[in-house]
Amino acid sequence: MSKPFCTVNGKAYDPPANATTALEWLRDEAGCTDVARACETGHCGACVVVLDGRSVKSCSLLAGELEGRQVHSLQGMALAGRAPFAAIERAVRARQPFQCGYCKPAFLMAACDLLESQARPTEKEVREAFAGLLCRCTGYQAIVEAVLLASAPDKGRA
Amino acid sequence: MSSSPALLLPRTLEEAQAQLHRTPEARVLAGGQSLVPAWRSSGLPPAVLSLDRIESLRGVHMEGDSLQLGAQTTLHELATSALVRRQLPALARMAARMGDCFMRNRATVTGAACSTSGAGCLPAAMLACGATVHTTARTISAEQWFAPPDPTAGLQRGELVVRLAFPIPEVASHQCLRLTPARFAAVTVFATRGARGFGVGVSGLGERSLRSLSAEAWLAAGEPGDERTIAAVFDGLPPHAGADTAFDYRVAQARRLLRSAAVALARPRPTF
Repeated sequence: MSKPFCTVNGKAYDPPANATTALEWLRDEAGCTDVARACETGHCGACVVVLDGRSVKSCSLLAGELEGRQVHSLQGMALAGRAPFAAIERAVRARQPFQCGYCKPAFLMAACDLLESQARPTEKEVREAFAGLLCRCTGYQAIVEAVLLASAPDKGRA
Repeated sequence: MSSSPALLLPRTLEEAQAQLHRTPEARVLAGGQSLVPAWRSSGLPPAVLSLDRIESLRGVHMEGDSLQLGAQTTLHELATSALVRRQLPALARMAARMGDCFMRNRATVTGAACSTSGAGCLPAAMLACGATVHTTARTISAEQWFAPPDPTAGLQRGELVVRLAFPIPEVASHQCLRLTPARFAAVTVFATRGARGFGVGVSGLGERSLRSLSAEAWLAAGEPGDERTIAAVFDGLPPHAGADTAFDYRVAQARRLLRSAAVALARPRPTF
């Protein structure tokens, strides 16, 4: 059996046929339509995936660079082994901070990155960690509150 | 984008140089955070050589009094390195604010040093610290590296950046005006005080980042509160039209940032 090109959410895939960027390959050839196609210019973060444990923008990666890597999109985050994700999921279900959902992968993965390095961030630290991520619907406040809730669920802020 | 370029993924420097020799048209790709989005509008090169798998280009260590950053060190690694936080905390704090959290996981120090926009925080830090760029062929001072036409123009075919070396100052301060999160700062001032006196690197005032002798002289004169003397700092630079802000505004902001840096340099060295 030939070695797979890479794995996505635990499933092995063949090399790219036509796609140029990782975003194109993930959506068009690997079927991961939960990876959003939004600005495609490396600004908004909607296309973010986890690459070998680190969150990256798939529109700013060439498809071929995924060779030998493990990729997780939002629907596979439970498999990615990122410890804060379960608490973030519970907080998002409790606080319901998103509207259209395009920015959801970006904020959830940025929140994972933050809580992995800082278990109890302040509100200022949460906002700084989100610098550059774009949301056109919510005004960000509810998203920040959800992350604070995820970081301190025992304080009963739900 | 349509039709993928041929992608080369060497695992050693020697393999990379051999592949560049065989495929001279290949563009070298570090973190890709500037190049891949740019290729959407400029078009794809026929071949790309990615440095992503070359482990010898990663890592941070000290050599004597100099911090050595492997060429493929990411901004996240620079921001979170215990060694960098201890030896040059201003550099770690600067890296933590560059781009956004996703970009920092891929963007490399060499990519940041290759910025051709005249903006960017790392070039200012390199100039202020008197950093050197070490390639597979030679050592280049930061001032030579950032001289026209652009940082990579002087590299020979097959010549690759291996590491950046930063002499450690006694104290350093990074100050910037970032008008849009995750984009290049509009103006950056990085100032140091050390054995060679004061060092000031500035980005955002011209086509290239520059070392400012007038700012260094102002710091050395030791009068941070004197408005008359700071009026001469950054004076005489050729007006440079930035994409989004007026030149006079950027000069005024650079002077404000320099004053903040002067105050910071006078304080005890910050720690993490």
